[in-house]
Amino acid sequence: MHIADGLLSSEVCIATGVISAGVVGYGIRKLNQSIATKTVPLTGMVAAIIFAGQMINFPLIGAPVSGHLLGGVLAAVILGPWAGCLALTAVLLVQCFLFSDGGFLSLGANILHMGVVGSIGGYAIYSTIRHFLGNTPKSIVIGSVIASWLTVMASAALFCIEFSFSFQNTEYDFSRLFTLMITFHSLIGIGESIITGLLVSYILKQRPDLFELDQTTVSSSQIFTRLSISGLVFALSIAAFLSPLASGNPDGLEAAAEITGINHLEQTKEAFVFAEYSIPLPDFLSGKLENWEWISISLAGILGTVSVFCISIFLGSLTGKQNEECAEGI
Amino acid sequence: MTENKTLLIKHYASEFKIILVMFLIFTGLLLPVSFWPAHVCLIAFIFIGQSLIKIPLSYLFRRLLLFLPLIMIFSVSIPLTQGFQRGWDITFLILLRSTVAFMAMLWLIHSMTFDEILSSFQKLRFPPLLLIIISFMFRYCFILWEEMESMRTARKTRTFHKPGMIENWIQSAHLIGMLLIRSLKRSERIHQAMCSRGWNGQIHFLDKTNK
Repeated sequence: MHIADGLLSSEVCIATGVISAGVVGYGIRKLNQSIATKTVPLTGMVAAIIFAGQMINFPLIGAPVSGHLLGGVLAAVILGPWAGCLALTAVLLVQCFLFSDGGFLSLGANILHMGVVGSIGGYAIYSTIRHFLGNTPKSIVIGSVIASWLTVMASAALFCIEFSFSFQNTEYDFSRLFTLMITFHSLIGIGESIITGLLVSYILKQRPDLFELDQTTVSSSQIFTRLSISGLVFALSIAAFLSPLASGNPDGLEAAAEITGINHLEQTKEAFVFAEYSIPLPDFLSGKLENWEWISISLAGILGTVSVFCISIFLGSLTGKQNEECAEGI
Repeated sequence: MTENKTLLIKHYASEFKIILVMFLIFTGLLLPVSFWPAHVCLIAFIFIGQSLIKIPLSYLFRRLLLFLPLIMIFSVSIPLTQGFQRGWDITFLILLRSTVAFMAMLWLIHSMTFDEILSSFQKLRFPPLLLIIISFMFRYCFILWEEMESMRTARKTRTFHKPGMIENWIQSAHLIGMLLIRSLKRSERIHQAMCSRGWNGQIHFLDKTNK
């Protein structure tokens, strides 16, 4: 999951490093101003929990891999965006310097993806959804589930952009690679959103005071910034599905093959290479839909979105019931 | 004069290490694929350094075996998506660069303790708040690990059947959630204890060079 050194060029490393150093620096300032010194040990504790939580594997039946928590949205939901970003930064620093997991120079990119997008962007989406769904326990779960899926997608899109900047001078077409990345990450994102949703609903049941349920007054400028940040993250995750289309500038042969539907020569050449990750085109439609590859990617996106919405609503309804039961029990 | 110089080097030894490793990784990143002998030279240099501080070969091999396949999967997927004809140079470039960087990081990590790394970051003007958070996290990690193990054991003794996937997910999420709730209380308690002993937001690291 972490970007190792060598995947990104030095220019991109420096650029991402500068951006995330700026954001982390601003976060430190922000935290220093509001120094209830309690937040400092608390941030350390949440960072340690995310670190420990990443060790717990969530097995997948029928797959040799297993998922684990990423934790950006979780940290933001409990600590707030800035402290959450710092907690994630601490986790990444320790992983880099203790386990050499993730590169030294690409730390900036890692912090940008998991800390800045994951925590700050995730918090913006979470709080916007929570605000518009009426600040109920259900809205908290739904908000965190959707936020965690969107942030994973946005980070994947960011990585694709960074990678294409890193190898700008080569004439290769990375669109298929990016399709693969996005497809994988939409699955990873679904896993992450389920884990985050389960965790948040459990914590909500045990310690509802952590979520400040009675906090109803939010200033309009705050809403505006949250809306704009969440719009940005949303746009990035939309871009995740569009990036294969935008950078897919097919050379003449491929363009011809696409226009004529199926080129047999091309197919035999690439039959054993898993080059096409899109849903295969039904036979009776061949030739009628020139843009099948595009449509299939978008379909994958829509499928992912729909499934995340279903998960969030399911988990949300679950917590609602449990809360009522608790209230009745009391 | 010479005595001063050696003292200077001794005083800044850990910072020097960090900067050297950064320099090595940066050189590895800047070299294009046509300079692959230079990459090999860098790897050889780092390997000599590693054997000087006696990192066991088996350990090195194991770590590389964990690390390289992941990079391999990603980098080989570039020529895979180009129809196996093109893109191999990027594959080799990524493999060479990431091996240099990984070996250099391993070298750095094994030549210093974690406290030394933190204190040298302090000398390099790293923001103190972040260092405090990291050192807290480092201490809490071991406590949490023990607590998690005991909770896992407790869960194992109480479950009589092998849980299915969905049950396993819910249980694991509850495990993390329970850990979180317990440790939030614990951190509040620790914070109160620290305040009563006069904690003023400063932190000090065990550093050999400061003695």
